[in-house]
Amino acid sequence: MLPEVWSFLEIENGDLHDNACKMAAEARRAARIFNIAACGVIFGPCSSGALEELKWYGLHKIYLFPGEPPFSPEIIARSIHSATERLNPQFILFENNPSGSEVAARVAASLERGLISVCVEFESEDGEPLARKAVYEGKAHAVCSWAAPPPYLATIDSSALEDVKEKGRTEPEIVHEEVESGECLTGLLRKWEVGLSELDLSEARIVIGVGKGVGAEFMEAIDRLARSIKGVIGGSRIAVYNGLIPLERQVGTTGKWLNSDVYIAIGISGAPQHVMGIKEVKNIIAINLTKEAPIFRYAKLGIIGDLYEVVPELINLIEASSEEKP
Amino acid sequence: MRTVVCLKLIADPDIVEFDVTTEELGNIHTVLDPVDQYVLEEGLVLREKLGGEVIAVSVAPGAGDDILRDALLYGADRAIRLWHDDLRCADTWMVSQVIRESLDNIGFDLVLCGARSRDAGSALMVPALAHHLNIASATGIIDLEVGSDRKIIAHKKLTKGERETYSLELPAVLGIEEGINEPRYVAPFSRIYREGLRKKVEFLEVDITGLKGRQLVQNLRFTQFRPRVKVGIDISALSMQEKLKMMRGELGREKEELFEGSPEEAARKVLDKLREALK
Amino acid sequence: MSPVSLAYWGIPGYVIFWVLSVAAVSLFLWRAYRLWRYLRLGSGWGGSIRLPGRLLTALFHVVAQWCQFKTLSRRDLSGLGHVLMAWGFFIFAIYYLLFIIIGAGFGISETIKNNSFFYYYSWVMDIAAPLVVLAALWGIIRRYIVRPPRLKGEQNIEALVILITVLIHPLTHLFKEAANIALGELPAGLGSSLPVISSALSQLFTGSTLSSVQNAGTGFFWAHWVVVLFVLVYIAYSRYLHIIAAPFNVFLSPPRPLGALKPVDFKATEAFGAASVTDFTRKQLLESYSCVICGRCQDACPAYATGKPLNPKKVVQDVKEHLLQVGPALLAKKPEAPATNPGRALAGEVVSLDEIWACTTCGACVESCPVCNDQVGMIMELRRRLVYEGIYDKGHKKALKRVAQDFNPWGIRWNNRAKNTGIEEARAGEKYDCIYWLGCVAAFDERVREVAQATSKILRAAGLNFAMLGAKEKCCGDFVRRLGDEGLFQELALENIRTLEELDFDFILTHCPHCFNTIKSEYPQFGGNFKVVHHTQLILDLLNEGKIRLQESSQKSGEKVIYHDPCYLARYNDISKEPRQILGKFFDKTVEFPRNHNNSFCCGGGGGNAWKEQEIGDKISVTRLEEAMKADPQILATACPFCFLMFQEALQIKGNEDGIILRDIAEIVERFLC
Repeated sequence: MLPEVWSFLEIENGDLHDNACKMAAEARRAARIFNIAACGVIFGPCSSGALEELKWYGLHKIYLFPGEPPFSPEIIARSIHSATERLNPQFILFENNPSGSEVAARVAASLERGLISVCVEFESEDGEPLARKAVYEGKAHAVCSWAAPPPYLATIDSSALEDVKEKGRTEPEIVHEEVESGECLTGLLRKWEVGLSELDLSEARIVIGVGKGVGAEFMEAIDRLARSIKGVIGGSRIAVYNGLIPLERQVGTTGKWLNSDVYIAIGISGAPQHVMGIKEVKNIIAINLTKEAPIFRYAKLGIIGDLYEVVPELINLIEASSEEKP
Repeated sequence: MRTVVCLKLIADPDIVEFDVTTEELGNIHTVLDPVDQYVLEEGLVLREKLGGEVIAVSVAPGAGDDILRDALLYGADRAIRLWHDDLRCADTWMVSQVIRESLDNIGFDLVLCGARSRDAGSALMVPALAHHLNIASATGIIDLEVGSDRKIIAHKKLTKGERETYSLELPAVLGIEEGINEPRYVAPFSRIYREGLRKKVEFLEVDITGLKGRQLVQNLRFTQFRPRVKVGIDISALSMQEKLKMMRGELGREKEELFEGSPEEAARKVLDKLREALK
Repeated sequence: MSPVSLAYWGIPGYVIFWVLSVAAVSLFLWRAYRLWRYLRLGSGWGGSIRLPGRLLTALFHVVAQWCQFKTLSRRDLSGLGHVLMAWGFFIFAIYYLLFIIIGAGFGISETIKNNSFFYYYSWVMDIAAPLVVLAALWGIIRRYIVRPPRLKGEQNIEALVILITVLIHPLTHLFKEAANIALGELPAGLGSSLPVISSALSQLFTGSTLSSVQNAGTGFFWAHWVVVLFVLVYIAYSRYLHIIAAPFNVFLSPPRPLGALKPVDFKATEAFGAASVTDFTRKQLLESYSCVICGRCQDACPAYATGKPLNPKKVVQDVKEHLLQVGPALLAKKPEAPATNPGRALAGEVVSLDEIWACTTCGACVESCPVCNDQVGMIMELRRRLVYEGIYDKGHKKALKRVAQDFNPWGIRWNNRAKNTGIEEARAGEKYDCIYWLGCVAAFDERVREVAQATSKILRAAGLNFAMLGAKEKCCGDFVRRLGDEGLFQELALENIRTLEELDFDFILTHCPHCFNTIKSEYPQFGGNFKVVHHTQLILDLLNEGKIRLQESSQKSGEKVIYHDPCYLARYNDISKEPRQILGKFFDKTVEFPRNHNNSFCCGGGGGNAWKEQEIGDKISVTRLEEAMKADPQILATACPFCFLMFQEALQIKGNEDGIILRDIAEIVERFLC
């Protein structure tokens, strides 16, 4: 019996959620490094479509814990704990996101086993498994080892994950496990989403910034755009001054500093005090009438055009598009 | 209500430097972990609402006295430093046991920690403490209500603007997320500061013989940062330029594009870019 | 025959005269003594006085009425009215003392008047009296009919009573003299020409019976004296108090009120700031007595002008009102008992939070005050109290917290300070001509960094050996101190002084007037005595001494440039000629703002106002920019990085359709370098 690496795959509404496929690929990758078998761990009802997709990741087994979501981390951890005691996996991997990291830590604590978090790489040295993680804002890597016996727990840094499919499909064995529900110290009441208008700028994946070029009457269109791409509206100091956005939505040196995935700067010239707040944004898209606008120096995609024409077109395109927007 | 806030001393990650040749860390300025400002503030806020005490605790060598003194100056009722020289290389698990011992002595209703530290980031402390004490816990908390009936409603921050709401009861451990509150400012020699000056940081030498077990993880060494080679790239096919780019983590970064054209084409470009960015 | 020597309903005139006079004087003294005791509730006098110099200044202010002449402007000549009233007051006061109290009161008026001094003095009185009447009329018309903005809402009873007494008493004097002339009681002595006005008025009595003229003369005498006695008493019960308080206030005022705030000795006091009027110095309470509610400070205040609740005039009057309110209760306690503050909190309730936080510390109020009050000083004490109690404006608090952690108000990690400036970092053991103190703005703002780079180019061209402190430099603490956080300020000052003292240099150069003012005037309070030079001073010297070579073109640029005087440069440190002289070398046309030099109107950036989040009313920077735009300039020049940031933002808000270019003086000069 080959030792196993278990990878926690998140499911939402029966389908693979977020980086679940990448975590499956990660299991396969770890399996290759350590010569063990890759397995998936899934809580909740899993659609056949999801299972079909997982066939591309070379998983040996999938441990299915049935039940009605949402599951609290306490229940998931407890269930994994008891399955671990019976089945003795060598590694258990989680994505380093809020739910994964909590479950990983709970399991590590209850099993009294080592947990190395935010890993970017696994290695083998003298037969011992090692993990690498970025430390001190990425200035260096720390090489860590598990000092306790297996299972070795780890959370994986999301940026290290990659969706790598195998060349062919494999049929993993589906093993049904039991969820250890029952008396809990902490009860999960509900899972919900913060409304776009209350969502803090620092949490949004997409932020739309409005500047001097946007008139007050156009904010309705901007609102529509924001809702269609599930973005949050922020802006420059001038936008606050002109009454387009409240003070808490100001982006810039004296306002919020964003690190969202996308920032769409609409009618913003790109003054240094504003740009300071978007330096960490991964993708900046700018729409401005003037070619010389400083904002274009920072944008991945710069559109020289009239926002009053481009934005409605964009809204139409998005709303007409049949694909699901993230 | 007695709230114990756990403060962590770390090397300031923005200031510290790593020498790639000697593989040593330099310019180490020890500071309070940024998340712990929010932890202390939450403790103070709860005291304002429900009365009681705020006790700051830190497992740290001598330099920890500074951050504990700051906690007193900010209004904490007591500040206790725990240490033993053998703890120098202790991992989170060992530290959690040290804190657990002190909690037995101090007595508490609520323990607050940072959800995850800025250095190790294991998020292990909260579940570890909850495990040792066998009490309820929740972590990643961005919003909190503690009732006078000892019931807690805690909102956990997930990604993408999602939340999970938990209910638990005191005694409990909570992992606090940055942004839960707005940490106060206490000016030197202001009223609260003056009250803090009258208090002293307490020191408790830790009895490590009682600690069950050794560390669970070990930090072997520091090495140069090396970006993960993504499988989707055939390294042999890369040019020297591209290999260097990959080393810097810049491979795959598209060039900036400036577009001028019809609104329809522009909109399409934006949509494509959006899709790509959110992949 | 003096009316005093007559008898009225059987009572001798002397009795009536002396009873009335003594009663009035007693009432006045009693009340004045109460006011003196309230004054003594303040904590110490605060500072020493350099005797001969200050005495001369006070005399000049009072006797020569410099207090008024210094506030005159083309738009506001009303000070002249006060000059007339004040000189009239002095002249009349001498008359009362000599000829009424001593003369009439002791029944020796014939003797006293029987000389040429009295003759000439009558003439002086005769000219002074109508002038005072005119001044009073002018005052009444101005206050109650014209109603200029400075006197908005000041059409009250007290002012009316005062103006009417000023109107009436010279009139009664003139008519009294007229009656005397009509009765033939001529002044003795040389010449037979009678004082013009009185004799003209005496014509009114022709055709009247002797007894009616006698009665008129007597009547006017007593009316006159009653009014005078009323004024004496009213001095202690109204803003007339300034007659006594203001001269002492001017005497006790420092020659430069603007510049350095007084430090707090944390070892000596438990709390800081003004919780109660007793926490103000006696000098400050005297200021509140000296205030005549003229409203010049209100007129000058940029916060008031843009609709914010702050009015320096109100702050001073609030302090006075509060003193009069709590004074009796405080005095009733045993003198050794700690002073409590009955009633509302001074900082936050009597003077509201929004008022206290709206101040930019520009000092225009201090500059404009005829009686040398320091309104900014009072506001600073209130701010200190709020900091002691932990009450902050949200934006101010964030800025302070960020400075406490990263030594700059934006909270950018301190190890990023002064990156990419291209300036060498200072090393111990090396001798430098100057240390270039960058200040937070140039150290962290991309655009203002260019000002530092331009200045560096000029320094290099002049062959100066200079260096910067780099990441070791910390916020100079100017705005920290002015927000009331004295503790953090002292920490920063001590650390900066320690860093500087490790280096060997001749002077510190800075382009920031705030850093300039703090290091120059305030760091000496903590042992940091350095020579500090503002870059406009240095650049002018370098230009005049020919140490930097400029491009060959002998023609000056035809662009129109307007120069904005930074408050901390022009008003606080009297540096307003140097920038203009520099500009004059390069430009044909330099235009002025309506308010310039020491009268400059603030950009809104000082006193921590740059970090305030919630803006009430209009933006001060936009108001000032609109003034500039009226002059239609091509270039808006300034010499302060905060003014720079404020105008940059204002240009964005207003929309810069005319394409006004914002430049620091150094950038302008650098453009013309070889």
